[in-house]
Amino acid sequence: MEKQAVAESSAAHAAVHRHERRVGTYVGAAMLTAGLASGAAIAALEMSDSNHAVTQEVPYVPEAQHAVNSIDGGLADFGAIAFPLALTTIGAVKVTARFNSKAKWLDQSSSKEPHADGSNKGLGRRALQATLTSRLPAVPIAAAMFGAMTAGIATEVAEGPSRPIYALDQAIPGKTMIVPYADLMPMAQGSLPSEASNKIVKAAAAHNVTARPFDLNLGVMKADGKEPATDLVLGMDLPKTSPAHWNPESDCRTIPVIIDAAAHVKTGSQIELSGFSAVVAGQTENTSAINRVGIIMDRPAVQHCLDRQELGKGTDHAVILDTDPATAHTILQEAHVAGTPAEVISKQQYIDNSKEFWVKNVKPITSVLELIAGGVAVVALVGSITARMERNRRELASRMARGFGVNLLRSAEVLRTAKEGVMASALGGAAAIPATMLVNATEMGFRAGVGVHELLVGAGVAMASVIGSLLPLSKLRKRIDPTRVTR
Amino acid sequence: MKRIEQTPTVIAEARNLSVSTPDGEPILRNVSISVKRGDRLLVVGPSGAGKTTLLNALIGNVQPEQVTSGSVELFGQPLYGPPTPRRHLRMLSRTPDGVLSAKDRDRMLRNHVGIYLQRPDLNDSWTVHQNLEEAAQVSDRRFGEGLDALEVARRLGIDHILEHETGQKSGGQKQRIALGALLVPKPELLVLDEPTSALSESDRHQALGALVDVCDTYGMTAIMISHDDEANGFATHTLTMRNGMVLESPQTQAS
Repeated sequence: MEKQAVAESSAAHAAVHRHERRVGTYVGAAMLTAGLASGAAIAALEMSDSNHAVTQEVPYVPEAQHAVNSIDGGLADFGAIAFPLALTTIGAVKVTARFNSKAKWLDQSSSKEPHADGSNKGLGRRALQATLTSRLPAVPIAAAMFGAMTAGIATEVAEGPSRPIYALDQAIPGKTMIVPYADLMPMAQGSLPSEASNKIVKAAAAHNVTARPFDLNLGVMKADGKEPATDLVLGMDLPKTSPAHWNPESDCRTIPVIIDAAAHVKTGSQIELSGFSAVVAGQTENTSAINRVGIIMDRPAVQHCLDRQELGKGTDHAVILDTDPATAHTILQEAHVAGTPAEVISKQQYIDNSKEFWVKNVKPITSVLELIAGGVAVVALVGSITARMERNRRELASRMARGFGVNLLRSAEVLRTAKEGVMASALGGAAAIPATMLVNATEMGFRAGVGVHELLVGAGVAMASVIGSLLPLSKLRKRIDPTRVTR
Repeated sequence: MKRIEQTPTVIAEARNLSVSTPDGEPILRNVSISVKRGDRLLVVGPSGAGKTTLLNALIGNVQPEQVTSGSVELFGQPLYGPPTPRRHLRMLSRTPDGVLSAKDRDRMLRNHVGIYLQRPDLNDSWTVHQNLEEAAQVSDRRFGEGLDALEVARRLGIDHILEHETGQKSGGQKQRIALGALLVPKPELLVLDEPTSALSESDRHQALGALVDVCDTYGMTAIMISHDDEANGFATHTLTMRNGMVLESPQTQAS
């Protein structure tokens, strides 16, 4: 009887083993086939040089863009509240710890987690453990750095293209502009006929107002030993004393120009501008935008050489007047340029048009990157805090069983995350400065920086991620049941 | 702070207590014990006898649904089952089932009970001194109501490692640190599940001697599980268990 039972049991075991082996063989064969097929498919795609992407055009939703673009503002506001609040809380607990034993326990517990796995001799081992045990909150630091850096890039993307306008503002003072249409900006072509510009200049003179037409030209600059670079030529009437004053008799063979120092082209160098030969007659600063070398050229040279227009009959981008909009309206009416589209706007509106263009153009992407930085950090930190709870499962359960109270244990974790957030905000913000400089080195004329706003965005990302990481604590007693874990 | 205003004579009591595993397998069967103030009860028996479950039930560390019948009271407060009419203490807050709320149970445990659950469970990255003071720090009792950590460390032979990092210490040293941490808050009741399992013979002798000394000096009550013969010298009473049942009611030890 017993022998029969043993035989039946052995037969059952053998059947199970046979089944497992059969399933393993089928799964292996399927994976082998799939591996060979996918390798062949990838090779075929590489050879055909085709790049099929799954994409779908979806309607543009302005509200969505507005919401996304307000992310960095929201993060900065949050950082501005959360960072000092966290710092104050930590300080208050540390001060209270001098005379309150529970505060002392909270301070100690939130600095070092209970679990430790022996001595750590090597630097790498110590660094790894410091990261694992949150003494060095690597994920929040990276999140803060990425947040601050992305905010710096976003600021530069929105503000950087306006740098030539500020340079223009210094070269041609005046708060009012007459433009062909109100939405004009440097990235849009303006074509106010020079005849109309000249009439405006004369009408303005009657009001004792200085009106200065200017032109813009987007082209490509080539200098010896350098990569070709896109440029933005500001054409303005230069006095005869200016090194870049153009003599029409010299034609367009060697146009004198003043070039932005960001291009690193020496004075006296020969360059090529949109196919024309030019000579660097002087240097200027702060006229380059992102990937656009700022170049100042005499206005007639721009119109005649670059725009290939007959002298005196070209078009201008706009006219700047050193007067108020009401007087500018009067001047426009008196200039008798009927039939020519022309409007009066403030120079600030011109700047705002440019900002709005660039904000709409690139900022949604950088804002989404900030959101992703925060989101990834939250997910990573939820994993990190869950892992920490798992590492300290027994220690936490034991303390719960001893009556420490879930709220007290939660408070220690909250204080620990506040400490991590503060450290991450400071270290991440500091790390963002050299990281942003590296980004600047990748694009000519790019000048992203880290200021108070960027630091606050970094702090906002770090604090939001550490607060988000507290989610697992809401179910502490369910996650760590002392009645089971302490057995 | 809600204080236990009048400590009862009976510190811990289980009546007709039956506890099962979550799968319904019986662990304790109709167990009744009563631990009076000043008692030092030693619980002995083979592995799987239900000793640890009994200890856990006495401090409320068992899921209520696992308690199939009977009741448990600690300091006169009901932790499981229907409360008895006998009351020595002012009522603390209760759940709808009539047992002590988790919040008040936690407060009672951290202020009046020192618990050791088979492992030291210390903060390895803290110093020995910090660990000795941990339980006293979280208790709601006033500063100075506990014992001097240095004095406790001296009694347990760990005073020379007070500023060492705990994680670097041996298993036996950690066990003595954990025992010291229980004594520093000067609890009224010690609940000890194999507190000397990692100690050498001489260290065990010293640790048990210190426990007896402190319990006698401060009138502490203790319930201890141990497989060490030497622990008999610690106890005033012994309870023998097997298969979830009490084989012998507490026997008074010959002094």
